[in-house]
Amino acid sequence: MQLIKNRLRIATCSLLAIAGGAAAADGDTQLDAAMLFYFEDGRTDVFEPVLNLKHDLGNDQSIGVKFVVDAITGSSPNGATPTNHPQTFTSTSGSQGEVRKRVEVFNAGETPVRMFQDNRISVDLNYDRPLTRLLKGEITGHISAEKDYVSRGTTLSFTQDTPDRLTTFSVGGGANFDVVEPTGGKPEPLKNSDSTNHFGNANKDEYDGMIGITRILSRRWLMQLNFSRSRDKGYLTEPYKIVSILDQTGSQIYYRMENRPDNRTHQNVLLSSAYEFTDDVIHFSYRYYWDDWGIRSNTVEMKYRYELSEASYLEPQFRYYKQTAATFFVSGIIDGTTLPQFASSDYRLGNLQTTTYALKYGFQLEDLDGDFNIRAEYMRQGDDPHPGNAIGVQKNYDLFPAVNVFIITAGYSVNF
Amino acid sequence: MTVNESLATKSVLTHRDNYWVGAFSAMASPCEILVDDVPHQKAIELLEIAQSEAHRIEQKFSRYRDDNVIHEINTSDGKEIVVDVETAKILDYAEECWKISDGLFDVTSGILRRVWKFDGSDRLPTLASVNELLSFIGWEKVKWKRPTIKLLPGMEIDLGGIGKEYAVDTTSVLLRKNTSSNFVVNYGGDLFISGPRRNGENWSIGIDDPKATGIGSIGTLSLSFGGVATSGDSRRFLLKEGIRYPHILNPKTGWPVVGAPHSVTVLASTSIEAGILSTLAMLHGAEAEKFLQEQEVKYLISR
Amino acid sequence: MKTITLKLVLLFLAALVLFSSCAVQHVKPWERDQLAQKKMQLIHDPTENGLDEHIYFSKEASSGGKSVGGGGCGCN
Repeated sequence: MQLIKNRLRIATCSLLAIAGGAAAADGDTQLDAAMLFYFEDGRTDVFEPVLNLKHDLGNDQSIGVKFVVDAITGSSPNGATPTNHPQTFTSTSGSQGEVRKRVEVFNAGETPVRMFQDNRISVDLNYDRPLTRLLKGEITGHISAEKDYVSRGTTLSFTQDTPDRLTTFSVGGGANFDVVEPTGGKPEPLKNSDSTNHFGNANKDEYDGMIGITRILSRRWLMQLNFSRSRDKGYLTEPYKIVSILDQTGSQIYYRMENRPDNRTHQNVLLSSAYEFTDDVIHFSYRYYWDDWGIRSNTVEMKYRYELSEASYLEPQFRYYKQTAATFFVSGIIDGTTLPQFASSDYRLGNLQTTTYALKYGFQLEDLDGDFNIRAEYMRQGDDPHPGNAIGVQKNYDLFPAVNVFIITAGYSVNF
Repeated sequence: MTVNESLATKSVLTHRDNYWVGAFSAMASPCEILVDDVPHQKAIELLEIAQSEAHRIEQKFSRYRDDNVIHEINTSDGKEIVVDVETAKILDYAEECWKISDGLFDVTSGILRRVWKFDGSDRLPTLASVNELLSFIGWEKVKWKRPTIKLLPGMEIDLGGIGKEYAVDTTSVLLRKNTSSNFVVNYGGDLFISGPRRNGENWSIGIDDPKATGIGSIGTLSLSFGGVATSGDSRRFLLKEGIRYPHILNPKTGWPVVGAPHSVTVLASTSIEAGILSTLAMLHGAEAEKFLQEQEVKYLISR
Repeated sequence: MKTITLKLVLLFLAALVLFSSCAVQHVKPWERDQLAQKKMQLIHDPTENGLDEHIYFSKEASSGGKSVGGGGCGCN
């Protein structure tokens, strides 16, 4: 009768274990479904359903699959900056096989946008299992496709606990092999947008790695520190975006296609923490990002889980993000001057701030198993309206009017 | 005999020096919870939670009632009974304990109470009457596969050996979810301590036999965490020709183990584990101390 | 650029050492009840996290930090 005590301990843990949340069904499959509705300021609408399934295979192994469908319609700035006369664009848009031409005119001072419509489908598979008592491994695969982009990737990661289980070391790596298939073909970099030729598809490969350490600091507090580094190689330019070419006064004359370097190395340091008061939990994280395109950013995120009752909660969320511009971010280029090697007016590479406020409500229904949640979110993205690199008459215009986004998410989680 | 009376009983809440004591009656025992200082309203809430849970377990698993799953199983007469998730977990646990203990812990042995009356007298049952019952005892005769259980006609399930300890542990889980203060749950001597008091001190637990006459406290334990259970009852035994027969029976023979201590108290991670270990220790008779030392648990034995 | 990266990596390693040796309350295995709750996971709603990461990836220059991999997209 050796150490009955230990076998008893294990059996008792199973007996008394209470799953966080719903007490009922002790199933081994978990379903998480969600729907996202995104509305950007009269510009873009996105509808995105997600379905996540995770199944316990026993022996602490599990497999999972995730389906995401992304239906986006709308418009986004094409890189041309507002100027002192109307701007006209002929854009190509449309679905599989059919390429439609469309002419759009923007008034003086308006930010030109480009219409697009896209549907994306993605599938992720994952499998994890313990390798030793304290070491666990996970492998994932990903594939997604949309009209002008295909992505395929895989990741492998390991977590190692210390014997007292208070510390976990994690290491992981991933690779993605994407194919960019712009409608009408890939344009020539920095060529005049009216005369550029188009060439087929291009590849984009990404390799990334991450190491991290997680510490349980007390019964109610844990923290994690992660460092990650990624390298992107291949076609990193936005095939539809342009840069305004200006005269001496800063007024737009014509356009050139943008061009970005064919490689990018970026790093992240992330500190995250979860702390529990009586029953409420506060999540906090801070991320510092830097890359070799000159971009630096700081992100602060906070979520407060406020338990209203056994079966419902409120969770206010806040996020603040601030980035500095890429070295080759320009508001325009004066015609006749030496063309830089790289140039882009994509506002997403500029001096940008995003502030997000959200409120999530979680609840359960009488006759239905599972947890429901609904979240309302407001996101405001602003860029410097009069950036330092504005030229001539550009300084009279708000080169980047703030964008307001409203997001509604609805989710459902059940175990069976 | 069945007792289906309303289980709503009175409860009493008192404030002591920096802690609360909530007392009520359940499972035929005096029950109490001690909670390190919390607001009055919270103490009321916690007492209610404990009392509800104790009564819930009692209603669900008592063999004295005719309106629960245990009764359904015990009157099934060989039919298959489908049980709910919680009962299934308890049956899984009972089966695992039966395996771990090599059959010494067996929830089908309850029917032996029909021939064994531990009233301090010298009236032992006859060998024949005990042997007759043995054919209806033994977990190996039970067909248990989630979620159905099938007993042979005449067999019964008795969770009396772990019911109170289980209630202590599930009550503790609920209290833990509802307060960050530490507490003690004490149901008739089976208890669980969630952690030390806020001032860093331990809780002082007196281990005594509430039903004993003339025998005082076995000891006082200063504890900061764990489950405690006591096996053995100084009043329930039989004495014949100088040999003491304690009321813990070996399910394989149908007889008590001679030479067992008067009582065994064990400290473990939960009350239910303490209960199983103290019962098994009793069944090791004269070797009770050796068994508990091998298991590397703290214990108090009174002979 | 390279010296900044080097400095920050060194800073990270320093933080790691500090982090590893900071006073930790010893938490016994049976005291992990609260830590085991889903809401105490650092990413406590992976579905929501996936949706949010996708939005921020399409609208900002930074990406990553929480995990490796994740698919790319032709996010306009």
